[in-house]
Amino acid sequence: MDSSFRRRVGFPGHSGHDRLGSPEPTPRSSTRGARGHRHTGLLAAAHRLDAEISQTAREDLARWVREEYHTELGDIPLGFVARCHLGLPYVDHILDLFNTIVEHYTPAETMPDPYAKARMLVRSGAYAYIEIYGNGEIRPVLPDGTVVI
Amino acid sequence: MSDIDYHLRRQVNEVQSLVVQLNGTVSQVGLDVNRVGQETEQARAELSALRADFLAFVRQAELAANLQRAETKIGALQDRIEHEFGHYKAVRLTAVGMLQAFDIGIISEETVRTVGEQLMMQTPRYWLAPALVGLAAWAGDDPALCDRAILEAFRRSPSKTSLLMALILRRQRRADASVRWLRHYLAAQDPVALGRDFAVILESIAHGAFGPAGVELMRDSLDRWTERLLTEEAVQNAQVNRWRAEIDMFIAAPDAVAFPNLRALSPQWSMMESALRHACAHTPLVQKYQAMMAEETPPVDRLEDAIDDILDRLVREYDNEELPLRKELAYNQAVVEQGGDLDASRQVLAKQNAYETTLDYLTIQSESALNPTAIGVSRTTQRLAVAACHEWFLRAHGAFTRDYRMSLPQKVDVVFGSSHNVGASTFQLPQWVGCLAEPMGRLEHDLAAHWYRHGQPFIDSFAFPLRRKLVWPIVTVVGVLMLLALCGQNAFVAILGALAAGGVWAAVLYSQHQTALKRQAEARSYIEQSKEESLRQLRAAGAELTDWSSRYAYADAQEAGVREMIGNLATAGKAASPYERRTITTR
Repeated sequence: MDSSFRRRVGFPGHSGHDRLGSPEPTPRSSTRGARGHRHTGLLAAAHRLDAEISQTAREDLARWVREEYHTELGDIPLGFVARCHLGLPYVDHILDLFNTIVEHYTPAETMPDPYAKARMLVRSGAYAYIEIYGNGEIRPVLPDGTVVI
Repeated sequence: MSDIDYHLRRQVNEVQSLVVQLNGTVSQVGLDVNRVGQETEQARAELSALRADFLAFVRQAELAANLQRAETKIGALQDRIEHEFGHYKAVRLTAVGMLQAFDIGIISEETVRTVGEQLMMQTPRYWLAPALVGLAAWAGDDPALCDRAILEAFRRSPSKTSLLMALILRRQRRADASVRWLRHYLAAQDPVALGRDFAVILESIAHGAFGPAGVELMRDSLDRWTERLLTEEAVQNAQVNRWRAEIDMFIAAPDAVAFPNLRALSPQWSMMESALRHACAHTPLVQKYQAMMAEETPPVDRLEDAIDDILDRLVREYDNEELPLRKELAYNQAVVEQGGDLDASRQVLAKQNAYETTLDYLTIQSESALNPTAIGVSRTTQRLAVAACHEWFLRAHGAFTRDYRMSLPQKVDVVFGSSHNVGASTFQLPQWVGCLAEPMGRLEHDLAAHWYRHGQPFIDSFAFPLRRKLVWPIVTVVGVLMLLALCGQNAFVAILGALAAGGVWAAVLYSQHQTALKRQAEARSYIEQSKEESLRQLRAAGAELTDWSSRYAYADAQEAGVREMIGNLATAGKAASPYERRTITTR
C-alpha cells in the first residue's frame, strides 16, 4: 500500500502508463490504434521500400507492411509520401502500397490527388513519412513513431 | 492646265502641312493626356488612403466606446453581485473563522452558537448557515441539535454539505468519518455532469488534503470515471479541441507593414503570412508553460491552513445562483482585455466552459489547466491538471503544426499587373508573372524584355518619317527650277527663290524631326524609369522572400522544443505533496 501510494501522486486516472498504442499483435478498433505509435519496424520498412531495387523484394516488403497495419490498426493506408533520397532534381516520392510502385517527383511536377496535399508536409522535413488513407485522411508520422491525428 | 495643276498641288501641300501640324498637336495632346492620367491616379491613391485612415479612425472610436462601456458595466456588475450575494460573505467568513476559533479555543461556545443562529436567520435558503449551527452544536456537545442542523444543510445542498463535512472532519483528524462523507459525495456524482464544486476535489488532491484512505477512495472513483469517459471519442475530441483553442491564442497578430513588396506582388502572400504567424506561436507557448512549471510554490506547513484555503474556495466560489452575473462579469472583463473588440471577447468566452453549471470530469481537468481562476482552483492544481492533460495537449499541438505546414504554397509567384506602379498603369502594361524559385538574373532579364516589348511601340509612335517627308520638297524644288528654266526668266533670281523656298521647307521639316526626337527621348526615359522601378520591386520581393524563409524556418524549428516541453510536463507535475509523505511516517 505504501509503495503504490508513494508512486501515485498525480491525478488518478492519468498515471504513468501509456494508455494508448503500445504495439500489440491483437487487432483493435481502427481509430484507437490509428492514434498510437508506429513501431520502429514499420518506420524502417517504409524507408526500405524506397531503397529496394528488385520488384519482388519490394512486393514482399509491401505485403508485410500491409499485414502489420491490418493487425495493428485494422485500416491500411493507400500509400506513403516521403522525402526522396535520390537527390536533385527529385524532392519527394509516393510509395503505393497496393501496386507496390515507387514514383519520384520534381518540384515542378504535380502529384496526383490525394497525395498532393502532403507535399508541403514532406518538405518541412519534420516527419518520417506521411500516411495517406482512402478516405482522404492525411496522417504524418514523426521519426519517433508518434502519429499526428 | 499647268496653272490648275500648280494650284491643286499648292492646295494639296497646304493640306499636307496642316495634317502634319495636326499630327504634332495630337501627339502633344497624347502626352498631356498621359500626364493628366498620372495625376488622376495619384489623386485616386490619395483618396483611398484618406478613406482607409477614416475607417481606421471610426474603428478606433468604436473600440474606445466599447471599452468604456465595458468598464462601467464591470463596476455595476460587481456592485450588483455584492448587493445580491454579499450577505453570504458574512456566513462564509464566519465558517472559517469558527474553525480557527475552535483550534485556539478562545471563543466561548455561547457566542459561537449565537452567531450561528443569527446567520441562520439572516440568510434563508443558504446551505452553509445550518452547517455552521451544526458545527457550533458539535463543539457544544449537543448531538440532537447537531443532527438536525446537518440534516437541514444536507437537504439544502447534499454535495456541498458532504464535501464540507469531509474537509472539516479531515481537518480535525477524524479520518474515518471524513472518508464516509467523501464516499457519500462521490457516490452521488455523475462523471458526465459534475457540479462546479468538484474542482475542490482536485484542489484537495493537489494539496494532499484527504489523507491515505481518502486518496485511495478518490483514486478508485476517478480511475473508473476516466476509464468510462475515455471510451467516448466525442469527449476526448472535445478536450483536444479545447487545447487546440488554447494553442490558437498564441498565434501572432498580423503585421500590416512587414514584407510590403511580397504583400503587393505575390498572390500566395496570404498563405505565407498565415503560416509564419502560426509558426511563431511555438515560442510564447513554451515560455508560458515553462514559466508555470518553474514556479516555486512554498508548501503550506500546517494541514489546517491548507484545508482552510480549500474551505475558503468551497464556500466562496461555487454557488450556482451567482453564475449568470459572474458570466457577464467575465465577458466584460474579456472586452476590457481585448481593448474593446466585442467579437474577439465573445469568441474567447465561448471557448471557455468554466461558467457552465455542470461539466464532465475531463472538461473540469482541462478547465483547471487552462482557466484556473474561472473554475476556482489554485496554481498547484493547475500544474497537476496540465500534467494530467499532456496527451491532449500533445495531440492538439501536433495537429496545429501539421495544419499550418500543409497550408504553405508550393511555389511563390510575383505578378506585375497593370497597376503595380504608375508607369505600368499609364502604359497599361500587360500582366507579367514570374516564379521566385527561378534565378533572379533570369527574372530581371525577362521583366526588362517585357517592358521593352510593350514600351517600344509607344516610343516608335513618336518617330518622324524624315526621309519620306524630304522627298516632296526636293521634288518640288527641282520641278520649279525646271519650270523656270523652261520659261526663261531671270535664272539667278529663280534659282535663289527656289532654293530659299526649299531651304525654308527643309528647315521646318528638320525642326519637326528634332521635336519628334526629343519627345521620343522623353518617352524612352520615362519608360526606362518605370522599368527600373519594376525591377527594383522585383529585387525587393526576392530579398523579402529570403528573409521570410529564414524567419519561417527558425520559427518552425521551435516545434521540437514544444514537444519536448509537453513530454516533460507529464513528469514535472508529479511533485509529491508534503502531506502524503507526512502521513506515511505516522503510519
